[in-house]
Amino acid sequence: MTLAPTTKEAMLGAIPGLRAFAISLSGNVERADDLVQETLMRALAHADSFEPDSNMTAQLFTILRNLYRSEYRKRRREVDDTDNRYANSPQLQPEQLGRIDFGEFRASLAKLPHDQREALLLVGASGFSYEEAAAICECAVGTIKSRVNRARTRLTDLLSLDDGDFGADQPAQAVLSASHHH
Amino acid sequence: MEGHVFPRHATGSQMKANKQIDPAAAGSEQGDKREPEEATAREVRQPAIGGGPRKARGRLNRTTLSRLGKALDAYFEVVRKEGVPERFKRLLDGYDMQQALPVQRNGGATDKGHSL
Repeated sequence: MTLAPTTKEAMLGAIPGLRAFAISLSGNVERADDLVQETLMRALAHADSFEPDSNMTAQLFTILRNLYRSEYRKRRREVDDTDNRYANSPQLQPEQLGRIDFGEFRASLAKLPHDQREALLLVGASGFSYEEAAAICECAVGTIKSRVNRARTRLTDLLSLDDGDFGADQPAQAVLSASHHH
Repeated sequence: MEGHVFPRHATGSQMKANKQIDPAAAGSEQGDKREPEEATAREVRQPAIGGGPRKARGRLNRTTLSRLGKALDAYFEVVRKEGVPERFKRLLDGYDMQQALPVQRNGGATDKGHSL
């Protein structure tokens, strides 16, 4: 049985996000692409059982996440071989990250506990709802919310993003300082 | 019934006496018996749970959350922009071809023998 056009389309559509998720988790592009390939192969092995209404993207993320976790356990004691393929990416303009340096952001993300990082990446970057992320991570919705919250707080601390609860952002500060001069 | 011996329970006054001993045992006596490492670990753990100059959790303002969201988007966007690498397109096309071949060999009569 060949792949249904919709299934194939859904798989192709999910690949860029899957790669981004895998790279963020593993910190290594080659390993991430191998993870994505393994994910797709496993999904294809069960292609006939996919229901048209099912969330293909979420299923692929679940497979990838489980693959990574089993691989992560094996590689735990290995030396981190994080590559820097995207570290000096010319595609990423400074204004995209505001005042955050890409390398700094990447390093800070890597410092987060594994569970928090994956929760933040699923909800904050991959566009999954808390419920979907909880299903992918096989945990309670409250657990995901808590992990995302802790990840955000930790990342904010690491990047010194927080200007305080009532702090003004950069444009607001510029306006305020301009008004002082007048 | 004279020969029957009931289990001895502590009387009210005995229980009170025991109670008076307990706090001491839980406090200084037991404290003295603790390993120094254990005491230190508890002291170290304590500020993380309660007091100490710890920042309140879940107090990120909208600006900070927005910055964080944009940063995450931008971080992922670099990879997303690359689209689908050829190796994955080939993988999916290859699957279709692999699935189609046995059907052609058998003249499309049966799907038996398909392997993934």
